[in-house]
Amino acid sequence: MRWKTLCIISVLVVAGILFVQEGIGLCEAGMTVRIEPSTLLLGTFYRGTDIKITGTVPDGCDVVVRFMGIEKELHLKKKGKVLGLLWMNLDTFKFKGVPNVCLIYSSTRLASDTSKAKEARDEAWKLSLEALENRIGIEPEPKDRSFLIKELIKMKKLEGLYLESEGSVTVVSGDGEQRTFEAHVNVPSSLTPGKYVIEVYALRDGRIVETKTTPVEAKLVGFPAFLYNLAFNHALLYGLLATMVAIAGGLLMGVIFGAGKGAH
Amino acid sequence: MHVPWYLYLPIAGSSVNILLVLSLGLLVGLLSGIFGVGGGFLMTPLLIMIGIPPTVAAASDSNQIVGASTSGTIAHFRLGNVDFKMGILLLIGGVIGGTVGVQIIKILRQLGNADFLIKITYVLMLGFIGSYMLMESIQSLKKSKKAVDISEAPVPAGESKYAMLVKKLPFQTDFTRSGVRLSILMPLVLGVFVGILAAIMGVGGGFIMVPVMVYLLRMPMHVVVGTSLFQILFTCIDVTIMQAYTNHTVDFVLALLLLLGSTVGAQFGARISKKLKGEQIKIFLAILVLLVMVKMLLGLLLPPKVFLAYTGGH
Repeated sequence: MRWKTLCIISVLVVAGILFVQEGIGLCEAGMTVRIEPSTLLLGTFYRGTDIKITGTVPDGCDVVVRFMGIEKELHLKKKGKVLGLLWMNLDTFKFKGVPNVCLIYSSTRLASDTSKAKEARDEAWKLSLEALENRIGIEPEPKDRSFLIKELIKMKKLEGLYLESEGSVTVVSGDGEQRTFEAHVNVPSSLTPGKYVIEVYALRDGRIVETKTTPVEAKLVGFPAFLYNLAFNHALLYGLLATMVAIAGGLLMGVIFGAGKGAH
Repeated sequence: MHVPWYLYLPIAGSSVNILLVLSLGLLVGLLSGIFGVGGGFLMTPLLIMIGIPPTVAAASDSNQIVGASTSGTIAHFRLGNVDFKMGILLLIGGVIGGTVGVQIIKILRQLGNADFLIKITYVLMLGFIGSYMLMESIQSLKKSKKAVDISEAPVPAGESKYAMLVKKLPFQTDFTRSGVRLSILMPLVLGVFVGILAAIMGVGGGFIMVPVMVYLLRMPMHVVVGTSLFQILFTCIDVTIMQAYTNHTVDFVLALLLLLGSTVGAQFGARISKKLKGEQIKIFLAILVLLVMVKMLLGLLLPPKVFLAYTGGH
Protein backbone atom coordinates (compact mmCIF):
# COMPACT_ATOMS: atom_id res chain seq x y z
CA MET A 1 0.00 0.00 0.00
CA ARG A 2 2.72 2.33 1.01
CA TRP A 3 4.66 1.67 -2.18
CA LYS A 4 1.61 2.42 -4.26
CA THR A 5 1.01 5.69 -2.50
CA LEU A 6 4.64 6.64 -2.90
CA CYS A 7 4.52 5.84 -6.59
CA ILE A 8 1.39 7.91 -7.13
CA ILE A 9 2.85 10.81 -5.25
CA SER A 10 6.09 10.66 -7.25
CA VAL A 11 4.19 10.57 -10.54
CA LEU A 12 2.12 13.54 -9.45
CA VAL A 13 5.21 15.50 -8.39
CA VAL A 14 7.03 14.77 -11.67
CA ALA A 15 3.95 15.72 -13.65
CA GLY A 16 3.65 18.87 -11.59
CA ILE A 17 7.26 19.82 -12.25
CA LEU A 18 6.83 19.16 -15.95
CA PHE A 19 3.63 21.18 -16.03
CA VAL A 20 5.20 24.14 -14.22
CA GLN A 21 8.22 24.05 -16.53
CA GLU A 22 5.89 23.91 -19.49
CA GLY A 23 4.10 26.91 -18.02
CA ILE A 24 7.34 28.87 -17.66
CA GLY A 25 8.26 27.90 -21.18
CA LEU A 26 5.02 29.34 -22.47
CA CYS A 27 5.66 32.58 -20.60
CA GLU A 28 9.13 33.00 -22.10
CA ALA A 29 7.73 32.48 -25.52
CA GLY A 30 5.37 35.34 -24.70
CA MET A 31 8.23 37.88 -24.67
CA THR A 32 10.39 38.75 -27.62
CA VAL A 33 12.88 41.61 -27.92
CA ARG A 34 14.52 43.13 -30.97
CA ILE A 35 17.26 45.72 -30.67
CA GLU A 36 18.46 47.89 -33.50
CA PRO A 37 21.44 48.59 -33.59
CA SER A 38 23.15 46.33 -31.04
CA THR A 39 26.58 47.89 -31.61
CA LEU A 40 27.20 51.62 -31.18
CA LEU A 41 30.00 53.00 -33.32
CA LEU A 42 31.75 56.04 -31.87
CA GLY A 43 33.25 57.58 -34.99
CA THR A 44 34.46 61.10 -35.73
CA PHE A 45 30.96 62.47 -36.18
CA TYR A 46 29.17 60.54 -33.40
CA ARG A 47 26.81 62.80 -31.46
CA GLY A 48 24.48 60.48 -29.67
CA THR A 49 22.23 57.93 -31.30
CA ASP A 50 18.86 56.27 -31.06
CA ILE A 51 18.35 52.60 -30.25
CA LYS A 52 15.00 51.17 -31.28
CA ILE A 53 13.66 48.36 -29.14
CA THR A 54 10.60 46.45 -30.25
CA GLY A 55 9.02 43.19 -29.20
CA THR A 56 6.09 41.46 -27.60
CA VAL A 57 5.03 40.87 -24.00
CA PRO A 58 2.14 38.86 -22.54
CA ASP A 59 -1.15 40.70 -22.76
CA GLY A 60 -1.93 43.09 -19.98
CA CYS A 61 1.74 43.64 -19.15
CA ASP A 62 3.51 46.94 -18.79
CA VAL A 63 7.03 47.38 -20.15
CA VAL A 64 10.18 48.88 -18.64
CA VAL A 65 13.31 49.31 -20.76
CA ARG A 66 16.62 50.17 -19.11
CA PHE A 67 19.93 51.08 -20.79
CA MET A 68 22.59 50.40 -18.17
CA GLY A 69 26.34 50.93 -18.09
CA ILE A 70 28.86 49.04 -16.03
CA GLU A 71 29.10 49.73 -12.32
CA LYS A 72 31.98 51.92 -11.26
CA GLU A 73 33.51 53.36 -8.14
CA LEU A 74 33.30 57.15 -7.88
CA HIS A 75 35.26 59.43 -5.55
CA LEU A 76 33.18 62.51 -4.76
CA LYS A 77 33.48 65.40 -2.38
CA LYS A 78 30.55 66.64 -0.40
CA LYS A 79 30.05 70.39 -0.38
CA GLY A 80 29.46 72.03 2.93
CA LYS A 81 29.64 75.40 4.64
CA VAL A 82 32.81 76.64 6.27
CA LEU A 83 32.52 79.35 8.91
CA GLY A 84 28.78 79.26 8.24
CA LEU A 85 29.29 81.31 5.09
CA LEU A 86 31.49 79.79 2.41
CA TRP A 87 30.67 76.72 0.32
CA MET A 88 33.64 74.42 -0.02
CA ASN A 89 34.36 70.83 -1.04
CA LEU A 90 34.77 68.99 2.23
CA ASP A 91 34.67 65.24 2.98
CA THR A 92 35.48 62.71 0.28
CA PHE A 93 33.19 59.71 -0.12
CA LYS A 94 33.68 56.54 -2.12
CA PHE A 95 30.50 55.60 -4.01
CA LYS A 96 30.51 51.93 -4.96
CA GLY A 97 28.44 50.22 -7.63
CA VAL A 98 27.38 53.36 -9.48
CA PRO A 99 26.25 52.53 -13.04
CA ASN A 100 27.97 55.01 -15.35
CA VAL A 101 24.80 55.30 -17.44
CA CYS A 102 21.22 54.55 -16.42
CA LEU A 103 18.40 55.44 -18.80
CA ILE A 104 14.97 54.19 -17.82
CA TYR A 105 11.92 54.20 -20.10
CA SER A 106 8.61 52.78 -19.02
CA SER A 107 5.00 52.47 -20.16
CA THR A 108 3.75 52.99 -16.62
CA ARG A 109 4.56 54.82 -13.42
CA LEU A 110 7.46 53.36 -11.48
CA ALA A 111 7.08 55.38 -8.31
CA SER A 112 3.94 53.56 -7.31
CA ASP A 113 2.98 54.22 -3.75
CA THR A 114 5.37 56.60 -2.08
CA SER A 115 3.55 56.39 1.23
CA LYS A 116 4.79 52.83 1.70
CA ALA A 117 8.13 52.07 3.27
CA LYS A 118 10.85 51.43 0.69
CA GLU A 119 11.07 47.72 1.62
CA ALA A 120 7.35 47.24 1.08
CA ARG A 121 7.21 48.83 -2.36
CA ASP A 122 6.55 46.64 -5.38
CA GLU A 123 9.05 45.37 -7.90
CA ALA A 124 8.30 48.15 -10.38
CA TRP A 125 9.72 50.68 -7.97
CA LYS A 126 12.91 48.61 -7.69
CA LEU A 127 13.57 49.41 -11.36
CA SER A 128 13.44 53.16 -10.80
CA LEU A 129 16.34 55.62 -10.40
CA GLU A 130 15.31 56.18 -6.81
CA ALA A 131 15.86 52.50 -6.09
CA LEU A 132 19.52 52.76 -7.08
CA GLU A 133 19.90 53.64 -3.42
CA ASN A 134 19.73 49.91 -2.65
CA ARG A 135 22.60 49.10 -5.01
CA ILE A 136 25.01 51.93 -4.26
CA GLY A 137 27.33 51.69 -1.29
CA ILE A 138 29.03 54.69 0.32
CA GLU A 139 32.29 54.63 2.28
CA PRO A 140 32.74 55.88 4.92
CA GLU A 141 29.10 55.41 5.94
CA PRO A 142 27.58 58.93 5.93
CA LYS A 143 24.88 60.22 8.21
CA ASP A 144 22.80 61.51 5.30
CA ARG A 145 22.97 58.54 2.94
CA SER A 146 19.65 59.13 1.16
CA PHE A 147 20.51 62.78 0.57
CA LEU A 148 23.90 61.97 -0.94
CA ILE A 149 22.42 59.37 -3.30
CA LYS A 150 19.76 61.87 -4.38
CA GLU A 151 22.49 64.41 -5.12
CA LEU A 152 24.48 61.81 -7.07
CA ILE A 153 21.42 61.03 -9.20
CA LYS A 154 20.80 64.75 -9.70
CA MET A 155 24.41 65.26 -10.82
CA LYS A 156 24.22 62.34 -13.27
CA LYS A 157 20.89 63.65 -14.59
CA LEU A 158 22.48 67.05 -15.27
CA GLU A 159 25.26 65.28 -17.15
CA GLY A 160 22.59 63.57 -19.25
CA LEU A 161 23.70 60.11 -18.17
CA TYR A 162 20.69 59.27 -15.97
CA LEU A 163 17.11 59.55 -17.10
CA GLU A 164 13.72 58.30 -16.02
CA SER A 165 10.98 58.75 -18.55
CA GLU A 166 7.54 57.44 -17.66
CA GLY A 167 5.04 56.74 -20.41
CA SER A 168 7.70 56.75 -23.11
CA VAL A 169 7.25 53.08 -24.08
CA THR A 170 4.26 52.62 -26.38
CA VAL A 171 2.30 49.44 -25.92
CA VAL A 172 -0.28 48.29 -28.45
CA SER A 173 -2.84 45.68 -27.42
CA GLY A 174 -2.76 42.60 -29.57
CA ASP A 175 -4.69 39.37 -29.99
CA GLY A 176 -5.55 38.78 -26.36
CA GLU A 177 -2.43 36.75 -25.67
CA GLN A 178 0.32 39.16 -26.58
CA ARG A 179 0.82 42.87 -27.01
CA THR A 180 3.57 44.64 -28.90
CA PHE A 181 5.75 47.46 -27.56
CA GLU A 182 8.18 49.99 -28.96
CA ALA A 183 10.78 52.06 -27.11
CA HIS A 184 13.51 54.46 -28.19
CA VAL A 185 16.64 54.83 -26.11
CA ASN A 186 18.32 58.20 -26.71
CA VAL A 187 21.95 57.31 -26.15
CA PRO A 188 23.76 60.45 -24.92
CA SER A 189 26.61 62.02 -26.92
CA SER A 190 28.87 61.84 -23.89
CA LEU A 191 29.25 58.08 -24.05
CA THR A 192 32.46 56.32 -23.13
CA PRO A 193 33.36 53.18 -25.06
CA GLY A 194 32.61 49.91 -23.29
CA LYS A 195 29.94 47.34 -22.54
CA TYR A 196 26.31 48.24 -21.87
CA VAL A 197 23.15 46.21 -21.48
CA ILE A 198 19.54 46.75 -22.43
CA GLU A 199 17.14 45.19 -19.94
CA VAL A 200 13.49 44.71 -20.85
CA TYR A 201 10.98 43.91 -18.12
CA ALA A 202 7.38 42.82 -18.47
CA LEU A 203 5.35 43.87 -15.44
CA ARG A 204 1.90 42.90 -14.28
CA ASP A 205 0.35 44.73 -11.33
CA GLY A 206 3.77 45.98 -10.26
CA ARG A 207 5.35 42.52 -10.36
CA ILE A 208 8.07 41.45 -12.76
CA VAL A 209 6.68 38.68 -14.95
CA GLU A 210 9.54 38.36 -17.39
CA THR A 211 12.99 39.78 -18.03
CA LYS A 212 15.34 39.83 -20.98
CA THR A 213 18.86 41.28 -20.99
CA THR A 214 20.74 42.01 -24.20
CA PRO A 215 24.38 43.20 -24.31
CA VAL A 216 25.19 46.32 -26.37
CA GLU A 217 28.72 47.38 -27.11
CA ALA A 218 29.94 50.92 -27.74
CA LYS A 219 33.26 50.95 -29.54
CA LEU A 220 35.51 53.59 -30.99
CA VAL A 221 36.09 53.42 -34.72
CA GLY A 222 38.10 55.41 -37.24
CA PHE A 223 40.07 58.47 -36.15
CA PRO A 224 38.87 58.54 -32.49
CA ALA A 225 39.96 54.89 -32.12
CA PHE A 226 43.38 55.74 -33.56
CA LEU A 227 43.87 58.73 -31.23
CA TYR A 228 42.61 56.88 -28.16
CA ASN A 229 45.11 54.10 -28.79
CA LEU A 230 47.91 56.63 -29.28
CA ALA A 231 47.01 58.54 -26.10
CA PHE A 232 46.90 55.47 -23.87
CA ASN A 233 49.50 53.18 -25.40
CA HIS A 234 52.05 55.72 -26.66
CA ALA A 235 51.45 58.51 -24.17
CA LEU A 236 54.78 60.30 -24.45
CA LEU A 237 54.74 60.32 -28.24
CA TYR A 238 51.14 61.56 -28.12
CA GLY A 239 52.06 64.39 -25.73
CA LEU A 240 55.03 65.42 -27.87
CA LEU A 241 52.97 65.32 -31.08
CA ALA A 242 50.15 67.34 -29.50
CA THR A 243 52.65 69.99 -28.41
CA MET A 244 54.43 70.11 -31.74
CA VAL A 245 51.20 70.44 -33.71
CA ALA A 246 50.18 73.31 -31.40
CA ILE A 247 53.53 75.09 -31.90
CA ALA A 248 53.36 74.50 -35.67
CA GLY A 249 49.83 75.91 -35.68
CA GLY A 250 50.98 79.00 -33.80
CA LEU A 251 53.98 79.48 -36.10
CA LEU A 252 51.82 79.05 -39.19
CA MET A 253 49.36 81.66 -37.98
CA GLY A 254 52.28 83.96 -37.18
CA VAL A 255 53.67 83.56 -40.72
CA ILE A 256 50.28 84.04 -42.38
CA PHE A 257 49.50 87.19 -40.42
CA GLY A 258 53.10 88.40 -40.66
CA ALA A 259 53.02 88.05 -44.43
CA GLY A 260 49.72 89.91 -44.57
CA LYS A 261 51.25 92.73 -42.58
CA GLY A 262 54.37 92.80 -44.77
CA ALA A 263 52.23 93.34 -47.85
CA HIS A 264 50.81 96.54 -46.40
CA MET B 1 24.76 66.87 -48.01
CA HIS B 2 24.41 67.08 -44.26
CA VAL B 3 27.15 69.25 -42.79
CA PRO B 4 28.62 67.62 -39.68
CA TRP B 5 28.83 70.46 -37.13
CA TYR B 6 29.66 68.07 -34.33
CA LEU B 7 32.85 66.16 -33.58
CA TYR B 8 33.30 63.28 -31.14
CA LEU B 9 36.20 63.80 -28.72
CA PRO B 10 37.83 60.45 -28.02
CA ILE B 11 39.56 61.33 -24.75
CA ALA B 12 36.81 63.53 -23.32
CA GLY B 13 34.29 60.86 -24.37
CA SER B 14 31.81 63.48 -25.53
CA SER B 15 30.80 65.33 -28.65
CA VAL B 16 30.99 69.09 -29.19
CA ASN B 17 29.71 71.71 -31.59
CA ILE B 18 32.62 72.76 -33.83
CA LEU B 19 31.50 76.38 -34.22
CA LEU B 20 31.04 76.83 -30.48
CA VAL B 21 34.53 75.56 -29.67
CA LEU B 22 36.10 77.61 -32.47
CA SER B 23 34.56 80.82 -31.16
CA LEU B 24 35.59 79.99 -27.61
CA GLY B 25 39.16 79.63 -28.88
CA LEU B 26 38.95 82.92 -30.75
CA LEU B 27 37.73 84.81 -27.67
CA VAL B 28 40.37 83.42 -25.33
CA GLY B 29 43.15 83.89 -27.93
CA LEU B 30 42.10 87.52 -28.24
CA LEU B 31 42.40 88.04 -24.48
CA SER B 32 45.77 86.35 -24.34
CA GLY B 33 47.09 88.50 -27.20
CA ILE B 34 45.92 91.72 -25.54
CA PHE B 35 46.82 91.00 -21.91
CA GLY B 36 49.51 88.32 -21.96
CA VAL B 37 47.49 85.88 -19.87
CA GLY B 38 46.92 82.23 -20.72
CA GLY B 39 43.16 82.42 -20.48
CA GLY B 40 42.79 79.16 -18.57
CA PHE B 41 40.72 80.98 -15.93
CA LEU B 42 38.05 81.52 -18.58
CA MET B 43 38.46 78.53 -20.87
CA THR B 44 38.48 75.67 -18.35
CA PRO B 45 35.14 76.57 -16.69
CA LEU B 46 33.54 77.20 -20.09
CA LEU B 47 34.67 73.79 -21.33
CA ILE B 48 33.33 72.12 -18.20
CA MET B 49 30.04 73.92 -18.83
CA ILE B 50 29.71 72.30 -22.28
CA GLY B 51 30.22 68.86 -20.80
CA ILE B 52 33.97 68.21 -20.93
CA PRO B 53 35.31 66.42 -17.80
CA PRO B 54 37.27 68.91 -15.63
CA THR B 55 40.64 67.15 -15.84
CA VAL B 56 40.39 66.84 -19.63
CA ALA B 57 39.30 70.48 -19.91
CA ALA B 58 42.34 71.77 -18.00
CA ALA B 59 44.87 69.55 -19.78
CA SER B 60 43.52 70.17 -23.30
CA ASP B 61 43.39 73.88 -22.56
CA SER B 62 47.10 73.93 -21.75
CA ASN B 63 47.75 72.17 -25.06
CA GLN B 64 45.74 74.89 -26.79
CA ILE B 65 47.61 77.66 -24.96
CA VAL B 66 50.86 76.31 -26.46
CA GLY B 67 49.49 77.22 -29.88
CA ALA B 68 47.97 80.54 -28.82
CA SER B 69 51.08 81.73 -26.99
CA THR B 70 53.35 80.69 -29.89
CA SER B 71 51.19 82.79 -32.18
CA GLY B 72 51.00 85.65 -29.67
CA THR B 73 54.73 85.59 -28.92
CA ILE B 74 55.56 85.86 -32.64
CA ALA B 75 53.14 88.72 -33.11
CA HIS B 76 54.57 90.57 -30.10
CA PHE B 77 58.15 89.74 -31.14
CA ARG B 78 57.51 91.50 -34.47
CA LEU B 79 56.32 94.53 -32.50
CA GLY B 80 59.53 94.36 -30.41
CA ASN B 81 57.64 93.47 -27.26
CA VAL B 82 59.49 90.35 -26.06
CA ASP B 83 62.34 90.66 -23.57
CA PHE B 84 63.95 87.24 -23.97
CA LYS B 85 66.62 87.82 -21.32
CA MET B 86 64.06 88.77 -18.71
CA GLY B 87 61.69 86.04 -19.85
CA ILE B 88 64.27 83.27 -19.55
CA LEU B 89 65.39 84.43 -16.08
CA LEU B 90 61.77 84.54 -14.87
CA LEU B 91 61.16 81.16 -16.43
CA ILE B 92 64.12 79.55 -14.62
CA GLY B 93 62.84 81.01 -11.37
CA GLY B 94 59.32 79.86 -12.22
CA VAL B 95 60.39 76.24 -12.79
CA ILE B 96 62.23 76.17 -9.44
CA GLY B 97 59.27 77.83 -7.72
CA GLY B 98 56.80 75.43 -9.32
CA THR B 99 58.72 72.43 -8.01
CA VAL B 100 58.89 73.93 -4.52
CA GLY B 101 55.18 74.86 -4.70
CA VAL B 102 54.11 71.30 -5.50
CA GLN B 103 55.90 70.11 -2.35
CA ILE B 104 54.34 72.87 -0.25
CA ILE B 105 50.87 71.92 -1.42
CA LYS B 106 51.48 68.28 -0.45
CA ILE B 107 52.30 69.40 3.09
CA LEU B 108 49.30 71.77 3.17
CA ARG B 109 46.95 68.97 2.08
CA GLN B 110 48.26 66.73 4.83
CA LEU B 111 47.49 69.46 7.34
CA GLY B 112 43.91 69.52 6.07
CA ASN B 113 41.69 72.43 5.07
CA ALA B 114 44.19 73.31 2.33
CA ASP B 115 41.52 73.95 -0.30
CA PHE B 116 39.89 76.47 1.96
CA LEU B 117 43.13 78.40 2.57
CA ILE B 118 44.03 78.31 -1.10
CA LYS B 119 40.70 79.62 -2.31
CA ILE B 120 40.56 82.40 0.25
CA THR B 121 44.14 83.45 -0.48
CA TYR B 122 43.45 83.42 -4.20
CA VAL B 123 40.32 85.56 -3.87
CA LEU B 124 42.07 88.05 -1.58
CA MET B 125 45.10 88.25 -3.85
CA LEU B 126 43.05 88.78 -7.01
CA GLY B 127 41.06 91.42 -5.17
CA PHE B 128 44.17 93.24 -4.01
CA ILE B 129 46.02 93.06 -7.34
CA GLY B 130 42.92 94.03 -9.31
CA SER B 131 41.98 97.05 -7.22
CA TYR B 132 45.58 98.28 -6.93
CA MET B 133 46.09 98.07 -10.69
CA LEU B 134 42.78 99.76 -11.37
CA MET B 135 43.36 102.70 -9.02
CA GLU B 136 46.99 103.16 -9.99
CA SER B 137 46.35 103.17 -13.71
CA ILE B 138 43.33 105.50 -13.45
CA GLN B 139 45.45 107.91 -11.43
CA SER B 140 48.37 107.89 -13.84
CA LEU B 141 45.98 108.23 -16.78
CA LYS B 142 44.62 111.42 -15.16
CA LYS B 143 48.16 112.68 -14.55
CA SER B 144 49.29 112.00 -18.09
CA LYS B 145 46.40 114.09 -19.36
CA LYS B 146 47.60 117.06 -17.33
CA ALA B 147 51.33 116.72 -17.77
CA VAL B 148 53.34 115.22 -20.58
CA ASP B 149 53.85 111.59 -19.72
CA ILE B 150 57.53 110.71 -19.94
CA SER B 151 57.68 107.15 -18.80
CA GLU B 152 55.12 104.40 -19.23
CA ALA B 153 56.17 102.76 -16.00
CA PRO B 154 54.78 104.68 -13.07
CA VAL B 155 56.69 105.22 -9.86
CA PRO B 156 54.14 105.37 -7.08
CA ALA B 157 55.10 107.54 -4.14
CA GLY B 158 56.52 105.85 -1.07
CA GLU B 159 58.32 103.23 -3.04
CA SER B 160 61.65 104.97 -3.13
CA LYS B 161 63.01 102.67 -0.43
CA TYR B 162 62.16 99.75 -2.67
CA ALA B 163 63.98 101.49 -5.55
CA MET B 164 67.04 102.10 -3.35
CA LEU B 165 67.10 98.47 -2.27
CA VAL B 166 66.84 97.29 -5.87
CA LYS B 167 69.78 99.47 -6.85
CA LYS B 168 71.96 98.04 -4.07
CA LEU B 169 71.58 94.41 -5.19
CA PRO B 170 74.59 92.76 -6.88
CA PHE B 171 74.85 91.50 -10.51
CA GLN B 172 73.27 94.60 -12.04
CA THR B 173 72.63 94.24 -15.74
CA ASP B 174 70.76 96.03 -18.54
CA PHE B 175 67.52 94.69 -19.93
CA THR B 176 67.48 96.68 -23.15
CA ARG B 177 64.06 95.64 -24.43
CA SER B 178 62.43 96.56 -21.14
CA GLY B 179 64.64 99.62 -20.75
CA VAL B 180 65.48 98.84 -17.14
CA ARG B 181 68.70 98.13 -15.22
CA LEU B 182 68.26 95.49 -12.52
CA SER B 183 70.06 92.77 -10.63
CA ILE B 184 69.81 89.32 -12.26
CA LEU B 185 68.58 88.11 -8.87
CA MET B 186 65.38 90.17 -9.16
CA PRO B 187 63.66 88.24 -11.98
CA LEU B 188 65.03 84.95 -10.65
CA VAL B 189 63.64 85.45 -7.14
CA LEU B 190 60.35 86.90 -8.35
CA GLY B 191 60.05 84.00 -10.80
CA VAL B 192 60.42 81.55 -7.89
CA PHE B 193 57.78 83.47 -5.97
CA VAL B 194 55.26 83.42 -8.83
CA GLY B 195 56.08 79.77 -9.55
CA ILE B 196 55.28 78.78 -5.97
CA LEU B 197 52.02 80.71 -5.99
CA ALA B 198 51.00 79.35 -9.40
CA ALA B 199 51.61 75.77 -8.25
CA ILE B 200 49.62 76.29 -5.06
CA MET B 201 46.73 78.10 -6.70
CA GLY B 202 46.70 75.66 -9.60
CA VAL B 203 46.65 78.40 -12.21
CA GLY B 204 49.07 79.40 -14.95
CA GLY B 205 50.29 82.43 -13.05
CA GLY B 206 49.73 85.06 -15.76
CA PHE B 207 47.51 87.05 -13.41
CA ILE B 208 50.29 87.27 -10.84
CA MET B 209 53.23 87.45 -13.26
CA VAL B 210 51.90 90.42 -15.23
CA PRO B 211 51.48 92.71 -12.18
CA VAL B 212 54.85 91.55 -10.81
CA MET B 213 56.56 92.58 -14.05
CA VAL B 214 54.76 95.90 -14.15
CA TYR B 215 55.17 96.99 -10.53
CA LEU B 216 58.21 95.15 -9.18
CA LEU B 217 60.37 94.91 -12.31
CA ARG B 218 59.10 98.26 -13.66
CA MET B 219 58.77 96.95 -17.19
CA PRO B 220 56.65 98.83 -19.75
CA MET B 221 53.19 97.27 -20.17
CA HIS B 222 53.59 96.29 -23.84
CA VAL B 223 56.84 94.43 -23.16
CA VAL B 224 55.20 92.77 -20.17
CA VAL B 225 52.47 91.31 -22.39
CA GLY B 226 54.92 89.89 -24.94
CA THR B 227 57.33 88.53 -22.34
CA SER B 228 54.52 86.98 -20.33
CA LEU B 229 53.29 85.11 -23.41
CA PHE B 230 56.82 83.88 -24.11
CA GLN B 231 56.97 82.35 -20.63
CA ILE B 232 53.46 80.89 -20.71
CA LEU B 233 54.47 79.06 -23.90
CA PHE B 234 57.15 77.07 -22.07
CA THR B 235 55.10 76.44 -18.95
CA CYS B 236 52.26 75.02 -21.05
CA ILE B 237 54.53 72.82 -23.17
CA ASP B 238 55.70 71.24 -19.92
CA VAL B 239 52.17 70.85 -18.53
CA THR B 240 50.80 69.36 -21.77
CA ILE B 241 53.48 66.69 -22.06
CA MET B 242 53.24 65.80 -18.37
CA GLN B 243 49.42 65.57 -18.48
CA ALA B 244 49.44 63.48 -21.66
CA TYR B 245 52.09 61.15 -20.26
CA THR B 246 50.87 60.60 -16.72
CA ASN B 247 47.11 61.23 -16.76
CA HIS B 248 46.06 60.72 -20.42
CA THR B 249 43.83 63.76 -20.16
CA VAL B 250 44.87 65.76 -23.25
CA ASP B 251 42.16 65.58 -25.91
CA PHE B 252 43.93 66.44 -29.11
CA VAL B 253 40.78 66.93 -31.20
CA LEU B 254 39.47 69.44 -28.67
CA ALA B 255 42.83 71.20 -28.41
CA LEU B 256 43.11 71.40 -32.19
CA LEU B 257 39.68 73.01 -32.55
CA LEU B 258 40.47 75.46 -29.77
CA LEU B 259 43.83 76.42 -31.16
CA LEU B 260 42.44 76.99 -34.65
CA GLY B 261 40.44 79.78 -33.04
CA SER B 262 42.93 80.98 -30.46
CA THR B 263 45.97 81.32 -32.75
CA VAL B 264 43.95 83.66 -34.96
CA GLY B 265 42.58 85.45 -31.89
CA ALA B 266 46.08 85.95 -30.48
CA GLN B 267 47.20 87.72 -33.66
CA PHE B 268 44.29 90.14 -33.57
CA GLY B 269 44.82 90.53 -29.83
CA ALA B 270 48.42 91.63 -30.34
CA ARG B 271 47.23 94.20 -32.88
CA ILE B 272 44.62 95.57 -30.50
CA SER B 273 47.21 95.60 -27.71
CA LYS B 274 49.49 97.75 -29.89
CA LYS B 275 46.74 100.32 -30.41
CA LEU B 276 46.02 100.61 -26.69
CA LYS B 277 48.01 102.68 -24.24
CA GLY B 278 49.85 100.85 -21.46
CA GLU B 279 47.47 102.37 -18.92
CA GLN B 280 44.41 101.29 -20.84
CA ILE B 281 45.64 97.70 -21.00
CA LYS B 282 46.21 97.83 -17.25
CA ILE B 283 42.70 99.13 -16.59
CA PHE B 284 41.07 96.42 -18.71
CA LEU B 285 43.25 93.73 -17.14
CA ALA B 286 42.41 95.02 -13.67
CA ILE B 287 38.69 94.81 -14.48
CA LEU B 288 39.18 91.28 -15.80
CA VAL B 289 41.05 90.24 -12.66
CA LEU B 290 38.30 91.73 -10.47
CA LEU B 291 35.59 89.94 -12.48
CA VAL B 292 37.35 86.63 -11.98
CA MET B 293 37.59 87.41 -8.29
CA VAL B 294 33.87 88.23 -8.03
CA LYS B 295 33.02 85.02 -9.88
CA MET B 296 35.12 82.97 -7.48
CA LEU B 297 33.63 84.74 -4.50
CA LEU B 298 30.08 84.09 -5.73
CA GLY B 299 31.00 80.44 -6.20
CA LEU B 300 31.96 80.38 -2.55
CA LEU B 301 28.93 82.31 -1.29
CA LEU B 302 26.02 80.95 -3.33
CA PRO B 303 24.58 77.55 -2.42
CA PRO B 304 25.62 74.97 -5.04
CA LYS B 305 23.20 73.35 -7.47
CA VAL B 306 24.49 69.91 -6.57
CA PHE B 307 26.08 69.14 -3.23
CA LEU B 308 28.64 66.78 -4.69
CA ALA B 309 31.76 67.42 -6.77
CA TYR B 310 34.31 65.24 -8.50
CA THR B 311 37.67 65.04 -6.81
CA GLY B 312 40.53 66.33 -8.93
CA GLY B 313 42.85 63.79 -10.51
CA HIS B 314 40.47 60.88 -9.94
